Amino acid sequence: MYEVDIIEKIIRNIAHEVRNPLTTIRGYAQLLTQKLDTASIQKSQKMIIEQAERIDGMFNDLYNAFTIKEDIIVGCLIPDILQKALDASVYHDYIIIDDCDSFQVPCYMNRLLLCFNTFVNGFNWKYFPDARLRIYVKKETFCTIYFQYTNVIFDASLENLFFYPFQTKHFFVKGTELFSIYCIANRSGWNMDFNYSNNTFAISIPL
Amino acid sequence: MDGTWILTIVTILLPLAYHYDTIKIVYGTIMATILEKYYHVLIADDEKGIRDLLKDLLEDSFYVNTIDRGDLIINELKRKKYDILILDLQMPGKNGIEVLQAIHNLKIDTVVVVITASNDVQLAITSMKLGAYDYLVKPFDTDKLLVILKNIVEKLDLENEVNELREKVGESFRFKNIIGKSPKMQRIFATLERVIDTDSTILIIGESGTGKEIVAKAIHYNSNRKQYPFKSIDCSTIPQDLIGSELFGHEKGAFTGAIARKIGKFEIASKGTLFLDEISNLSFDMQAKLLRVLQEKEFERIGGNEIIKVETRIVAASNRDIREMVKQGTFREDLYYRLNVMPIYLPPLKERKEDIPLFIDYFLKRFTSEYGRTITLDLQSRLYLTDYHWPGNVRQLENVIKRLVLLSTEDVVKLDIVKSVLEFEEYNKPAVQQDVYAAIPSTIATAPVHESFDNGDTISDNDTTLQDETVKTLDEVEKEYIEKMLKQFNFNISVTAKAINVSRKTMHNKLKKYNIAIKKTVADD
Repeated sequence: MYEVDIIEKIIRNIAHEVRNPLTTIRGYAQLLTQKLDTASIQKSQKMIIEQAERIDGMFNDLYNAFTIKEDIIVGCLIPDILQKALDASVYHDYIIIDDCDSFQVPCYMNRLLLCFNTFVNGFNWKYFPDARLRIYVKKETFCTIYFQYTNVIFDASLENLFFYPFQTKHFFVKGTELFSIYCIANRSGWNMDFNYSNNTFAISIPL
Repeated sequence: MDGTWILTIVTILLPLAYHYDTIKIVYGTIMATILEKYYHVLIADDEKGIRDLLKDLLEDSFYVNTIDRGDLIINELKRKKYDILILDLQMPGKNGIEVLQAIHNLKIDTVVVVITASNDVQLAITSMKLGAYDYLVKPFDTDKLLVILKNIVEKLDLENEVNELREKVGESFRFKNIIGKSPKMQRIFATLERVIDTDSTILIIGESGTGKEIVAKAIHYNSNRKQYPFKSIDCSTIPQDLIGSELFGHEKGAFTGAIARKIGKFEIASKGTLFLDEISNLSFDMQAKLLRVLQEKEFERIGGNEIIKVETRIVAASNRDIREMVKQGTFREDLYYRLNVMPIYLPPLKERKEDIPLFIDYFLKRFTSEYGRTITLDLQSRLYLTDYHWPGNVRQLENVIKRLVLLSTEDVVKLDIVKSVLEFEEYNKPAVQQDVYAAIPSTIATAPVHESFDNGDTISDNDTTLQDETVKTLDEVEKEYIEKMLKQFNFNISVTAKAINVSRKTMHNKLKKYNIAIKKTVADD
């Protein structure tokens, strides 16, 4: 995909997303001129501030996704890093680590940990309480880490979902999570893919 | 970054503050209009901010409920009646287009206003095709939404008004509200109840004045077609050349004088009921055309090529024995059998005397209220009226009661008044037709009238008066009649006009036309 196409998709998606809080801001601003009791005024002000902060938060999330922290390549044992992410999460009951080949992989450990954390904690478990995340690792030409979400169906219309950050909003808490993981993978020289047929994300690290 | 967004908000707020007064007036006007009635609105949006905003904006004027998932909307609409749905197109579970499709397929009665953050034109077209009432792109002006809702409220108000009126009209034609406690009428109602919701054609046979049209309306307003139009056409009063156009409509230029397309009664009453009164008067050609529509349920407008499919239910009526006409070859046998799926014979009033007191009370109540009088009948009068043979059936009884209410100078009508009015009826036998010409005294038109099923509605072949070349002109007959009536009512113009069913203005025109002098010394009017 051409860069310009990717930029167009991202901009379109952001424009779409930002219109929601803008509608609320505009609507409450209009309501401020009509409902003049103290409670209504306070509610309008509160909503306007909340939605303005939300827009700010959206742009911060996007900006942070682009801003990759410095890291160094070290030899990592993938199952250990996975376990570390799991231990720190309140959602560990939803996650199954399955069939992991244990071997040393040279990679950016902190970035990888951030990706794991995002897959584990960024998913909207409250919205999909029956969903589960199965993680497994395969050593092939690459070291491929698979993240398979079960009991949930990702909308087939989410084509190129990495470039429509907010389209995945209901599956992930903020909507920017996949975009963020994609940016990390891209900057670290890893491949990232999604297989619609089995709801599986794959991060492939060259050996 | 905070500073940038504060600037954005100030940019939005400043022009709003500048137009503060205008916005307030617009809002006030719109809300005042909407406030008069409460409708139920469902707001479906996954954005909490927008749900809150719309709820705050609308809850003073509507009952508002909110929902945040697309897959829950249909169940909520099935669970509870919502007049308006404000629908976001992008929602989890089921997107707005799928929801619109489901509403369309399930024929859920709700007006949908689509709101979306996408400005994709194709999406707007698809939404409108699926029945959305309007489409707003976020961030929208809430005044625009209020204007849309105001229009919807007006539309719903109108629809409700039409439904209420239809219900009111229908109510008066409920079987329970139709006068007819006699066993014969009760049997008819029981039969009709069984076939009311079927599409079968009904043929009503009965003498003139027995209430065939009322029964036809009752069939319509008690059936599941009641929300669709009821149309009637009297085949005896419309010239045969025009009846095709009345029934099937015509295209512009189909014949001389067809200056615009006309939609026929069959088409208007599609899904509803078409009452063909006096069907025996249809020409043989028209009978063939009617048969085709009954068989094929389709036709073409006169001068048109387009095939129009209809689901019109036919209720036909006749005061003549159609079987006899079939035997004589003047009515198509195949059409007769097509119409005669469910024949109903309406008995003449003399065969259901137990209904006469009910009719007397009904008409007394109606006319005393209409003319602001307090008139009752004494027992002897009631018995006399009940025992009368009523050749003109209910219509004649109605006219007699109307006359009694109009002419009586006392609060209780005595037998002698009743007798004189009925003698007058006998004297003016065809007067039941409610027409000044029809009320021509029998001394002038003395020809015998068929004692057949039609009971005097048609003029006899032996009517020598009309065949005689020395017969008086119509004007002479009319003048003579008016003079006679004036004399009878002591030259009171108003009363005479009412008695012969013409307006005072017409009466004065006639007096002037025929140069009739008012001989009364002190004119009542």
